[in-house]
Amino acid sequence: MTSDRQWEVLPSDAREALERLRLRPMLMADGRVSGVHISSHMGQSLEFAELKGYAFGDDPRGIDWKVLARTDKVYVRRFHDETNMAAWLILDASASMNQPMPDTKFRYGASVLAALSYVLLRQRDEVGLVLAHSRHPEICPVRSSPSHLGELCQMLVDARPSGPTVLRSALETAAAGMAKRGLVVVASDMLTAEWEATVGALGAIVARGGVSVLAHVLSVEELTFPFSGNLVFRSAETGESALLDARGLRRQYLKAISDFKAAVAQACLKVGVIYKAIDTTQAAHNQAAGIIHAVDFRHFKEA
Amino acid sequence: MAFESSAFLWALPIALVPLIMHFYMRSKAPSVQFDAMMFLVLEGGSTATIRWTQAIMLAVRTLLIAVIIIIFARPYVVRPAVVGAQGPVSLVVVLDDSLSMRLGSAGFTPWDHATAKAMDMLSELNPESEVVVVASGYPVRSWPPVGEVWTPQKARRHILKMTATMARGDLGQATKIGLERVRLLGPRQRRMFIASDFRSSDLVGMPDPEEFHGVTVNSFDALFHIVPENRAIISAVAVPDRTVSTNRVKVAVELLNGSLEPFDDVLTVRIGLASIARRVECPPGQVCAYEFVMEANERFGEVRIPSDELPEDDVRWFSARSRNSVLIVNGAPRRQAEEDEEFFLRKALQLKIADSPVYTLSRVYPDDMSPVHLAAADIVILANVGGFRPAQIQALADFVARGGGVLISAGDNFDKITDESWNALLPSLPVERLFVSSPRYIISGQDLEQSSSLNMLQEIGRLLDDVDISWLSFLGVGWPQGSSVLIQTDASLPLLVERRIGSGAVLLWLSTLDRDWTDFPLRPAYAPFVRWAVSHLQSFMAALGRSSITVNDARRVSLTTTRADVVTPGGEIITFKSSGEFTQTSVPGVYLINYYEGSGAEPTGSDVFLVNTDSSESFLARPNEIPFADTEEVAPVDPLPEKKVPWHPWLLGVALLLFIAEAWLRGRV
Repeated sequence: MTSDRQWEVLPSDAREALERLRLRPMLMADGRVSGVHISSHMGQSLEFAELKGYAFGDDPRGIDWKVLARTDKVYVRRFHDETNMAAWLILDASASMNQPMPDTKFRYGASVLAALSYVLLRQRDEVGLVLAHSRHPEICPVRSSPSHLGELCQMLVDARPSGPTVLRSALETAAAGMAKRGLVVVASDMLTAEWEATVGALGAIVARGGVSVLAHVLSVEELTFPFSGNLVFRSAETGESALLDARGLRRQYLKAISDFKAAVAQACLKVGVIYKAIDTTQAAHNQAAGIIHAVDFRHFKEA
Repeated sequence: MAFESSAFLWALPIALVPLIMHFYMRSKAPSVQFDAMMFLVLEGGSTATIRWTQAIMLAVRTLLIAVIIIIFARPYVVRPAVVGAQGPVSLVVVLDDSLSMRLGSAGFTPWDHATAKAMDMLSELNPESEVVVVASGYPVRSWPPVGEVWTPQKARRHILKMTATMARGDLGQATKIGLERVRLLGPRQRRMFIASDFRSSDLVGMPDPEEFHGVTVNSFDALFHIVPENRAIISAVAVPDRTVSTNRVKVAVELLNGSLEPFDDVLTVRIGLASIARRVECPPGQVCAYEFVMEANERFGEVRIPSDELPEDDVRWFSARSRNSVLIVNGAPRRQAEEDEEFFLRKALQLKIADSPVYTLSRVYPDDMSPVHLAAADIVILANVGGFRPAQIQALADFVARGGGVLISAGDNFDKITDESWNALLPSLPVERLFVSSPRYIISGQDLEQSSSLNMLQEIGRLLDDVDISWLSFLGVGWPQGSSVLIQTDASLPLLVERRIGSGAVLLWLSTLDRDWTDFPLRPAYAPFVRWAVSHLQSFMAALGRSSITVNDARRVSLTTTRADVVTPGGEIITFKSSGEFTQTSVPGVYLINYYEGSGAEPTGSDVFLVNTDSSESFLARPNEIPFADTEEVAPVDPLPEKKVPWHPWLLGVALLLFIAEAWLRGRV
């Protein structure tokens, strides 16, 4: 069931800006229908793959006549097939993502993932969504129909983040549902003691031939610590609170958060996960474009 | 616990201010949802750690304020009286460290017993007692300086370092000083501990019993188990025996036999290389006198008997140089010898008269006279001298004070004296020259100590009748004590004046001793008068033994040269670059003074002085009753009274620790 609220996470101007973007990660897709990604099978695309000696049963339309004329040997021209891919978008729905009000990190991450799903569905890729909840992951299975975008957006709009971070189980869920090679994008603040395990799980997907992206969503407050005076700091995720002198802690905090970001980025680099720090002061579709650019850049870099 | 300013305790609720402020701020402080709290706590910490740290810090702040308030309230505890414990006292320890305390017996001396007893007593005192130590050996000393006190422990350490001196003792003076010091100490029980051998001579000058009012006196007889036996040389004086030769002296020795046995042993007298050893006898408890006639080829000699338990007084040094050396300082030399004052003086002193001494004469001009010349002279005649430097005058005054004699004759130069330095020698400075015509002379020296000398002067006075004196120098008024007129004119004008200075004397002839103002040199009375004057001045030396002082007396070193070195019997050299007092005479013996000019290494002259023990220390006789002897045991002292023990110094330390802890905790949250 959909409503107009679904487009709160993907407004029309964002869709308009994303219309011409293509996300083509460097992987051999195992799609079921034709798409924009190179398939692991030979097919009818325009992209030349190889010359093969003619064998019984080969289509005679594929014989390369120019080679036959020059060498008196019969070769068949083979081309890559083009297919679609499966992409899993995972959003951290823990309580820590529910800040700062009203434009929360969760809402921002949802917009980024909605923008990515829009791009992916437009190129006929299959897109699935997992909301990493404390109770159990909410899953929207992969589909490639254009109407699937609405379902995804509705699900993102309806979600209410709460509880501790459980990204690892969400990733395991996604990996189990993703029998073929594909793309996994995780949007999270990684404010959990198990962040290294999460990065490790993403690395496992890369090892299987897939592409993993970590969209690290941190709020401006978390990055700049603009507080001063005595404040009671409360953690929504753990319930802890403490009366602290913000001004006295600022320098220590900024160093710690900077070290944390660097550590996460370093861990991602080590296992081949694409790390993208999300700037929440920019429009979400621009950050989505940034992720697409990072994936493509990786594509070119590895090519 | 009690408080001196308990009103401050009303401020104790202020200590709750940190708690109230914390909870108030916590309730009023804005709340922020912030999930990156893991980066707000220190490494390894948690919010629970923060809460605990904050709780501890609050407790520390509360305690800190409470402690500061309590410090202002000045807390104290009352220490109750302790039965049997001794309270602090104010104590003066008077220790006799004079020579007699060195009397040895079975390896121990009275000094050992006295100090051991003092140490025992100090060790039993309450550590808060105030202690002053007084030593009775000359000069009497006390420690610490007035205005300070020592603890018993510090007094013990000081006494451990002390040794008995070789000086005479002055127990009376030491006791008086002890009484003054004990009354300056705190208002506690005042006590005085006197440890001495309590010889009869020690008790001379002791304070009267009523002067001890308010002071508990304990004494310790340091000689109580030592037999007081001692043999000593108590006097040795060399008197010129001029009848035979100029160098011959008669050495008069007095031996004290303070033992219970007769003395029958060898007595040795030595002057330079010449020595006489004679077996002498002296009954017990007697002082025996002996005479030895011998050649004096050295400036000093020594008398010695075999050592006994007090060896320091078994040897005595004496001045042995024949005392007939006359130095004429010629203040107005003339070309014509028969007009020169020195000419007439030489004629008078070089007369060959039976049974009369032969004088050795030497002459020096005023500018050249130095202590080197004085060291070689016994009598100095200042013949019309007026131009001495102050240092020379002071050297002459020191020379006289040590037993030397100076004869001064007036004249043109003498009349011009205006330098105040001369007051060290003269009764007064000359003010004018008076014309007198054929006066008559009156012998007025009634206070001459030596009756023979007075008789001789009266004989000479009769010969003066035909002497015509035209001019007299007249002295100003205000003569110091010790000045007297020996001869005056019938108009009561002084003609011959004597001034005693120290052990010597100055004779002042207020006319000339040449023919300028008088025809005296041509008259028969001249030679007898000059010889009488020299002989009279010599008599002071013979009686007192010039150049001999007792242990710890000061000896003045007069300098007109660049420097002087005093060489002690132990070989130590003390250098003087200006005139001053030499006080390091703690060891008896011969002290040599070498005078140097410029940076020269060879002395230009030398002098000696002798340091002997005081003979009174050799007499060990004791009175029948020792003072304070019945209080030898330490008198009981007051029990330890109740005492307020303040706590605020400790609390200040606690406050400091809390302050440091608070600063440390503040850095953790």
